[in-house]
Amino acid sequence: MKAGAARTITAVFTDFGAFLAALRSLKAEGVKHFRVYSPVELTEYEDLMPRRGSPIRVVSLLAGFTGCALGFWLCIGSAKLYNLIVGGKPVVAWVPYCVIGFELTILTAALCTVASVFVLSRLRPRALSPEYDGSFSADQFGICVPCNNEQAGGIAETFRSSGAVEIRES
Amino acid sequence: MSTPFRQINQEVLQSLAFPTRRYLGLLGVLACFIGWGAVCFYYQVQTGMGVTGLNLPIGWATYITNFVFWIGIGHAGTLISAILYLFRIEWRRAIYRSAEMMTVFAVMTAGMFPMIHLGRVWVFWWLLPYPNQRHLWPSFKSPLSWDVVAVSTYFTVSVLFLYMGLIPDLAAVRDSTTGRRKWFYGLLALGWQGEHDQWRHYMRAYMCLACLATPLVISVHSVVSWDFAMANMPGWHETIFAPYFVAGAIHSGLAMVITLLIPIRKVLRFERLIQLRHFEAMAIFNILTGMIVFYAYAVEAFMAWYSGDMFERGMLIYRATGPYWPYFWVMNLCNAVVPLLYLFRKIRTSWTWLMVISLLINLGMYLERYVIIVTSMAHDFLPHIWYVYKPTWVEISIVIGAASFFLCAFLTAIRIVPAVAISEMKEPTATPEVMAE
Repeated sequence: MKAGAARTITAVFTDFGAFLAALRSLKAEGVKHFRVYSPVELTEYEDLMPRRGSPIRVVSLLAGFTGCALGFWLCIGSAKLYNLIVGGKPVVAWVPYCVIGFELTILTAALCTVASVFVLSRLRPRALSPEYDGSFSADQFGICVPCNNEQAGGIAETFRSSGAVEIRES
Repeated sequence: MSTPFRQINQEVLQSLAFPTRRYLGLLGVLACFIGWGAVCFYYQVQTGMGVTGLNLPIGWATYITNFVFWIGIGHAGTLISAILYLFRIEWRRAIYRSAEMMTVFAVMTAGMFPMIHLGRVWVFWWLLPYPNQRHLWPSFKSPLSWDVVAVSTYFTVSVLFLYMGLIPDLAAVRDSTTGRRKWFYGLLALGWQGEHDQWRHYMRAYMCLACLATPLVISVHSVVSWDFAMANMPGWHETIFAPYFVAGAIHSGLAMVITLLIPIRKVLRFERLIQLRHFEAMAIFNILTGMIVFYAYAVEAFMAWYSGDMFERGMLIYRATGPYWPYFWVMNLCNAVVPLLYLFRKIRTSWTWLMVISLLINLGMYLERYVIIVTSMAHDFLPHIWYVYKPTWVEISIVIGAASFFLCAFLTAIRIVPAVAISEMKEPTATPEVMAE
């Protein structure tokens, strides 16, 4: 929540056009701190959001490299512990170890990708925000703006003029 | 307002209602088969592997056939959910969730067979790399070790991919239920609220997982094929095996999706969501995979002749004219010729034909694995130990029990979690133009 915010205005929209219009108005008014709830991921309002992109691809890439190194380390380390020639191949045989290296690349990258989305999206069993409405997972869109008492009236009016079907204050 | 969204929610969520008595009865029958399979497995463990038809020179037979078959079945789920996602194929939306669930349970079923086949199942964990006081590690030069790593990676990634896709839908179920069900789905939904910040990380992660699952699915059946291709055995030692197995896996997996979804769309009343056009698209895909499989069969025969290798030629002749000839010819017919019937639009848009052809493809693909595995071992380099293998009642019972486990798990799962992806189904209806209507 924005520092110093005393109130929270939540607007509910059933019409996607109205929802977009409200976001545009907020951007025009210079409001930077707000949350948007949507039942579906839509790229149409991506440009209107204060934060874009995600570091998850970088996490996946780094985890993939780590997993690959781990795979080769596992194979080479265990082969050196048991220093026998097996199947006519050298003790440290790179070609067959590529399979393990590849599989651990994928495994580590996948596990870290999921872990990072859990951390970044704060996904854990928890109580839902008071502003959240069950209809946001069905067919309605929501915008939630933390603000002080002076801003509240103006923001509520912006939502009303954009076509919000419901405006809640908390 | 927003009728398309709410309608999708309602249509999918009604499938999670308590099942009918007939449905529960079917689960009960399947549970009986599972129980019988478990009893037979217990008998095998107590008595020893002599109760199976395995005998020198046949060390691998029905159990390994089932392992390869069920791993292959899983491949269509990953193809539909990951590969077609990357290509932005629209028709995958309605069917990918069921296909993913099929993948997870198929891989679980497949994973049972190497353990059943081991005989001493209580030491199966020796296959896993773990630090121990004996300093004994699996040999990572062996295709069997590759298999353990590849299949366990595949299972883990498939489960993660399925669960990731489910999170927004579990939140939708949570928000539409009350009491203990709300608590249960709330726990699974992990506090998902559909915030923009959640969506932007989620979609990147989903894309990354799809990118990771795509090479994985190709690698897994390649590794499974190398269990055979790395051995110096006529009929196994072939460079074409990896792409041949991958194409075959997708061929059988797509057929299994068709077989499962035809009754399920009726039972769960998904007729509006899963339409004939989805099946038609899968049927067309089956034509392609059938042709690749046909090409692989032809190349196998050609190389046996052109290489001049007498053992390869002998194996081909043995397969076509030896004691396993009915399996060989039914396999060719079902996998290579029958799918071509889908070239006729009337056939691929008929529910009956779709069901019959998909079942025949599955029969053909099962026989393909049986022919590859059993005939090569039955007719190896030493004529004095040539042997004709037949599965015993114990093996058949365990196989039926495992297939029942797959069906039972799948039919249970589709009544617990949404079998159609709610949030993805909303995407095409979410453009401003459509919503304005």
